[in-house]
Amino acid sequence: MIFVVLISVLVAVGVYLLLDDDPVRLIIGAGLLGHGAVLGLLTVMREGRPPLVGAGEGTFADPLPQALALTAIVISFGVTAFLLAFARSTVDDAPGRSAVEPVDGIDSASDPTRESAEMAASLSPEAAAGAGSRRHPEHGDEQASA
Amino acid sequence: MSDFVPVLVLAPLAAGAGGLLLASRPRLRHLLALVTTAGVLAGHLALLVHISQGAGEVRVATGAITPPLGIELVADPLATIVGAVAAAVTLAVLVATRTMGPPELRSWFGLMPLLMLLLAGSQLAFLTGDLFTLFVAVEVTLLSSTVLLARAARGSRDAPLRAYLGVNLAVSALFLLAVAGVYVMTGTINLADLAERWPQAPAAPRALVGGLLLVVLGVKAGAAPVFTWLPATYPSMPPVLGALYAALLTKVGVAALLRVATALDLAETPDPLLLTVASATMLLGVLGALAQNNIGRILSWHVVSQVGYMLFGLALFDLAGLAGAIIYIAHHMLIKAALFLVAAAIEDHAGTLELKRLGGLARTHPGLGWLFGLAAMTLIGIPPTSGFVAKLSLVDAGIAAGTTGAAVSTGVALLVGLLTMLSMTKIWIGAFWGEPRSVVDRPVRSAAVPAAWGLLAATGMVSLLGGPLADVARTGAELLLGIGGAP
Repeated sequence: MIFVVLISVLVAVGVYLLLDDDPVRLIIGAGLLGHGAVLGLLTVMREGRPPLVGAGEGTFADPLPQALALTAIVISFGVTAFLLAFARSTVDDAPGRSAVEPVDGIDSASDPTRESAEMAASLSPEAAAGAGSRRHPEHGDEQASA
Repeated sequence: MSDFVPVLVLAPLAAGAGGLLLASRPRLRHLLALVTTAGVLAGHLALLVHISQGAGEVRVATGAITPPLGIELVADPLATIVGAVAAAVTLAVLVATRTMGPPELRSWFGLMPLLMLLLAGSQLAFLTGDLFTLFVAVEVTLLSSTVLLARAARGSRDAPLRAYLGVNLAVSALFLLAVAGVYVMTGTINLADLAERWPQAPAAPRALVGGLLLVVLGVKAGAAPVFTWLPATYPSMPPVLGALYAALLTKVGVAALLRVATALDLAETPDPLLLTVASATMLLGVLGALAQNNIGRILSWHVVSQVGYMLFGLALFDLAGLAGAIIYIAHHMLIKAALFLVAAAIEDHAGTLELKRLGGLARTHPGLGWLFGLAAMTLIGIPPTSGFVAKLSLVDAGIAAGTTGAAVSTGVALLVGLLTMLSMTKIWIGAFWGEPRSVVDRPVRSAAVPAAWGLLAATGMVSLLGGPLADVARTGAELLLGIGGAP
């Protein structure tokens, strides 16, 4: 019963944090959600002696959920590592911001400048100007549909 | 014959690792990817021939662990047809990325390993015979596609990346919970084993966990109420990579949905709820496409609409419907990738995909005009093309199902075909007719055009070999539903 409550709380808090825009909350939310799922896997386990040959009598514990939980933990570890790298690069991209400041509204501050520099390198000058002005409505559109 | 099935997954993985080692040798790296992908394609085609000659399916217990326990790979018609098409699309995208796409992405050493990882993950998702390996495969495709999206997205990458990650991370955790639920109810996660044990489980939790699985895989596939992440992310990719995303990623979800829903018998024949979802997906996708003025966005919304057709085949939940869905997936992956590659060539030439800034391409680039025209006709389903073969098999199945709901959905499918024509006409009028007015006018010298012609030729093969393919797809549907079929 305690596990059921714990899993519910972890999943609820995880989903709530995932709904936020802040990358740090996204990371914590994904972590909590992952923990909830792994706990879910562990609670379905049949209990018993260690699943080793010659480790005592009686029924042995079901080894499969342990294997599944281990794999799931490794995967969520990888996801967390990637998310941290992503959050870090988001912060680094923003000019004049340190890594500890909140990162709301960063995309509008950083990307158009970098974008237009790239465009200018590959296109003719008037195209770069045109492309630069084109980005903004597209960006607003994305925010709306997301 | 069965020994090399795991190689279809391991070879791209190894090539990806090799690609990382070859960071300073771009040509060799690219050659390795091409050879590996061509090898996977050849392997699938050999399997397909073997299967169609009466073998039905090839099952491999990896590591010689007897099936209910170990990781089982199942090369049935669904897996081999979809796997072969996935390899073909990856091959075309590899050819195209050599000469096009943003230069800093093209020369990035991580591009090729990520593409190979994406291929390996999707192959594993198509071939796997158990739920947990399906989860792992979905995670592999998710991670590689996310890193690629983070690197390649144009404009503001944060909004699409957050939408993509938020949705997919939540879905992954729910998927894992559903797997745990399935295991506690039945004591197995092998799909073949589940087909026998699942009906003996109590009804109420069965509905809950089964529904959770349907929702989770539905989000992955881009089904009706839960598809909004898709048009929010795909257009932010360069279209040359959008081709790969449109062809591979949602289809991983659709193929998994076909496999899981049939193994656990999660639907009726035909299923009213799934028919509603399928019709809504078809309609909303095509209406969304009609509202757009950017070729990339139009094509992305069409991905949603086309997923609706595949779900329609699943919702019928009989032999003809599922066989039609398998053919439709093959047709759709090829033609959608071809259209995205055409979009990539247009962007390469004009520097934009906005219809307002394009025009007169039919006069300046007649070859591109023919390519787009033929590809659009294939998407719409004009008779000799593969779109006609695929849609005919679905409409046929819909009418044969005989219920009012199936008939209404069939009508929706036909109407959506008409609306698809409308939005393709919109691209044609906007980009190909009228006066040439591109701001930039660079010569189209990219390899995307021959790659798209190659994919178009592949759809030609789908319609030429329509008969044998329909037979194999029917065997696949029999195996999915667990009736008859070869051992």
